[in-house]
Order: sequence, then C-alpha cells, then structure tokens
Amino acid sequence: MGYTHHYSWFGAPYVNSFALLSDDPEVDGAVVFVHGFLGDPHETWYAFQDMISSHATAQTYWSKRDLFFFTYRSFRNGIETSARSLLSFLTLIFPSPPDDLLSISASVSVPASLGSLNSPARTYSRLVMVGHSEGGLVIRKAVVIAETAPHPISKARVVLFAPAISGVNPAGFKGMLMQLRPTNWIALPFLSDSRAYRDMNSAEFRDDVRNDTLHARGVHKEHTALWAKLVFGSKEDVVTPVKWPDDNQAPEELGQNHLSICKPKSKYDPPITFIAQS
Amino acid sequence: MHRLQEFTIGAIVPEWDKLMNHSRKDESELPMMTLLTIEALLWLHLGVELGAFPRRTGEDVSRFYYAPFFKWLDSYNRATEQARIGPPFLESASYLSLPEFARVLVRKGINQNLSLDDQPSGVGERNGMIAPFQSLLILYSLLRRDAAVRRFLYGIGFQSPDEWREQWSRACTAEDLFKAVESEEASPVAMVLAGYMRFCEYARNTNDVLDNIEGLGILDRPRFFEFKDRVRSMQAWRLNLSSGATAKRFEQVRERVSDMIARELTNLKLKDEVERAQRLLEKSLNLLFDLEPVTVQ
Repeated sequence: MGYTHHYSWFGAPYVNSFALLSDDPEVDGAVVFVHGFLGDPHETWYAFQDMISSHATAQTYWSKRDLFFFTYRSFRNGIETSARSLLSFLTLIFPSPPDDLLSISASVSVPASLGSLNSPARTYSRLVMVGHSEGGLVIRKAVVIAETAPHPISKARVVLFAPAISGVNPAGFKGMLMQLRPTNWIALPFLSDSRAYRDMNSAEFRDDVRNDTLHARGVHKEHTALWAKLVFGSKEDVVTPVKWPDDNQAPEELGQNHLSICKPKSKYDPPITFIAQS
Repeated sequence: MHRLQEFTIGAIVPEWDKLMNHSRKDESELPMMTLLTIEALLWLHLGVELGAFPRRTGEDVSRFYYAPFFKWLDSYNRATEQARIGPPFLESASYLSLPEFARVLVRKGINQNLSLDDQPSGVGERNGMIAPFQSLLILYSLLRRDAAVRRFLYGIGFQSPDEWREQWSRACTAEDLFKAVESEEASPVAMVLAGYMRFCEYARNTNDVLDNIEGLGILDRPRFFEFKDRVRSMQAWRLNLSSGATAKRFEQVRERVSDMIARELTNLKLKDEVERAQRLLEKSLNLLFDLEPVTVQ
C-alpha cells in the first residue's frame, strides 16, 4: 500500500516551520531539515517534498519517517541563538510530536468527518538531522551545546549538504544571494549587520565549535551526531568544501553548486539516497 | 493532521471567519476577502478532483463553510447593487477576473446546488500528483499568511485612490524595505514593496514546482498543461491588469522596486548584476501570470 505525507504547520514560536507527517502506521523516525542563510524551509527543500513518495526509497525509508522543516532567523540571529532554538524545537518533536500537529483542536468547530481525520500519535526511535550551508553549522553548534545535558540530538545521524563549517567565500556568498530570492538582494547592503554571517566568517567561532566537537568525541563515542556525513558539489564557490577530521565526506557531486547540491531532480537523486543511506 | 484539516483551518477558516464576522472598518477589504475565500474553494475543488483531499469530507467542508458564505455573498451582492456606488460585486472587474469555471461554481453555490464534481480541470485522480499538489498548497498557505503580500494585493487592486496616493507619497528607504521583508513590521509603503517582491518569489517557487511535475513526468503533456492552466487561472484575479488603476499602481510598484535595487546594487559595486536582477524579478511574475504589456494612462 502507498502511504503519503500530510503537511502541518507549527504555531509560535516556530511559525513557518512545518512537518510532513506520514500516514504509515509503522512510522518510527524523524528527519529534521535545517535551511541555510536567508533560505526558507520550502524553497530549500521543496524537491524532497515532491519526490519522497515517488522515489525508489519511498516505501522502504520515507514512508517510515516524518519530515520536519525547521525555520529560524538565519540572518539576524547568531549561530548559537539559532542552535538553541533548534534544540528547543527538537525537544518539542522528539520522541513524540505535539498533539496540535496531529489533530485539530477540540475547541475549533469543524464538520465531524473532518475531525475524524486526526493523525495517530507516534513515537520515534530514530532521528536524522539534515542541514544545508548555514544550517550545517547550526546543527554542529547544537550538537556541542547538547553535550552539556542529555538531548536526543546527540544520538542523531547528521547529514550535511555544502555546510558552512570551514569558512565562506564572501564573493561567492554575495553571488549566491543574487541567485536566491529577490527579497534577499535587499539584504546585501546590510550583510555586516548579520550575526550569522559574522559567525560563519569568524575562524575563531568555527574553531571553537570544531574543537568542542573533536573533544566531545573522545568523551562520548556513542554520540553519533559528533560525526557528520557530508557532501559538496564540484561547482561549490560559496563555502570552503572541507570536512572536519573523521567526518565521512562523500565524493563531490559533479556539476552541482552550492544551491543545487541539496535539490533532487528526476535525473539527480543522490540527495534522497544520501539521507536514506545515512 | 491530515492535509485537508490543515488546509481547512489554515486556508479556509481564517478568511471565512473574518468575512462572516466583519465590522464596518473592514468594508473596503470585503471584495478582496471575498475573492480570497472563493480562491480557497477552488483549491479545495482541485484537491478533491486529484484525490489529495478525501471526496466525502471535502464535500462536508464545502457545505459547512461555503453554504453560509454563499448566502452572505448573495446578500452582499444585493447590497452593492442597491448602494449604486459601482457595479454589483458579481459584475465588478475584480470578480470577473475569476475564470469562467470559478464563476460557474459561485453561481451554483449561490443557487445552493454546488457540487465539487462540477467543472473539473480534466486531470482527474492521480496518486503521483498528491505530493506536488501538496507543495503547491504549502506555498499557497505561506502566501495567504504573508502580511506584506496581502498589503500589496490590497494596495494595487482594492485600495481607494485617495488612500493609495497618500500612502504612496511617503518615503521608503532600502532599510525600511529590508525591515518589511525581515519582520513584516514597517510602513504601509514598505510593506507594499516587500509584498511585491514576495509575490514574485511565490510565482517563481510555484513555477519551480510545476517544472518539477513536468520533469518527473507524472502527467502526460496535455494533462500537465490542463493542470498548469488550472493553477494559473485560479490565481489570475490577484493581478488583474485589465483594470487601469491596478495596472498603473502595479507599474508604480515595479518601477520603485526596480530603482531601489539599481541604486543599492550600484552602491555595492554590483552594477553588472542590476539588469540580471531586474530581469529575474520581472520574469518571475511572467512565469505564473500572463502579464499583458501595461500602458499607463
């Protein structure tokens, strides 16, 4: 039987974050997507949303997973603020998503048959974190913050597309903004006001996250999230395409650039399998 | 939550609720609110046809919300007819910018014999279309909750000439525009400009999803074009450039944004990008809306 996913929006403080909830009764995992600088959860990941039900891995992998598209103030907020917001978001959805994501509130007057479509409760035993660009650094910062107290992210699998973990190329970065949404162009004059941009550009900040990660690996070998699986495109010119020691870096994807690396197409499905094989 | 639940409480109920409980101060927005409510019915109608929404529950939703809506619409139309300020709502230019199939559904709704089986797009039930249709719904619901886009649509299509003139004469800096984009808290004119840019993005994103449907080969070509045509025509009322006032205001917005981008990018020594950026912005809307060449009077 074919299962499908149903979209459901989060309320405050995660407005514009949304979930795709599987109607497979055997769903047991959550995949959380974190977009990049000035990205949005739909534009960055829409190709996943279109393909997960038609791809060869649909029934073996995706129907058993709920997908969460987290959004955050990727321009204004610093990486640490965004990482803490991500950790709070994860606490909200893992191991079980909140009721208001699954069901219509009893206080809303709706036709009876509509009320009967509520999704059943579910409990996840698996978590995969997927990040693009700034989202990759946000995830890695969240992982090291979580080392101070037990948190589900520690045992997640981490998959990163062109993560900004080893520096950014300012010229390429501006070029990328010009290729993105028109509203991003108007951000260009204010780039220096962006805490996130400053953090991504700061070798000191990145080194701190990296060193904290490497140190934590020696203490908690069971914390899978300290190691990432990552990939860059051969046309990457926005971030420095360098992994951290002992990360699992896949061969570069030929012909893909910073933006296309995470967008599966009918003739480019590695992003889908890359996650499914994590 | 089932996607029909989310669609109902996210896309139908908020506007419906505002409309059914509106006060005098909302009166200038009533035509736009009415069209937004009708448009939501068209998405429900298409979702039921494709099998993305369960038919029986879709019919229940239609009866529950739209039976009272059509009663209200009938009385609103009579009221606009009696007021003799302009044409009755159902003969107004903004209503007539809805496609023929939508007006047939509205007529049937007012006559209390609306069925979601009437006026299908011709695509029919398609399992493979559920995910991409849902992507379109996600974009549509983002658009619906976007305060800047709402302000833009209201400004160019529905605002009184005096109000528009007064608002339009106010200054707006790039920083104001950026604030409107970032936090949706800005002056009305900055919101209009930000809404225009967001609206362009919506058109571009929607077109990307349509391209993806074509690329994945989910529909044969004739059906794909029927689907694309349906999605475009449902939303055509948003940019009704056959109305002289709307066309003029739209051009004013377009020019002001274009000038602002040119100035800012030139200041940043990105002069070479100006033309490309302007072309991209212009092309975005053309992807979803058939923009006739606009002659400003």
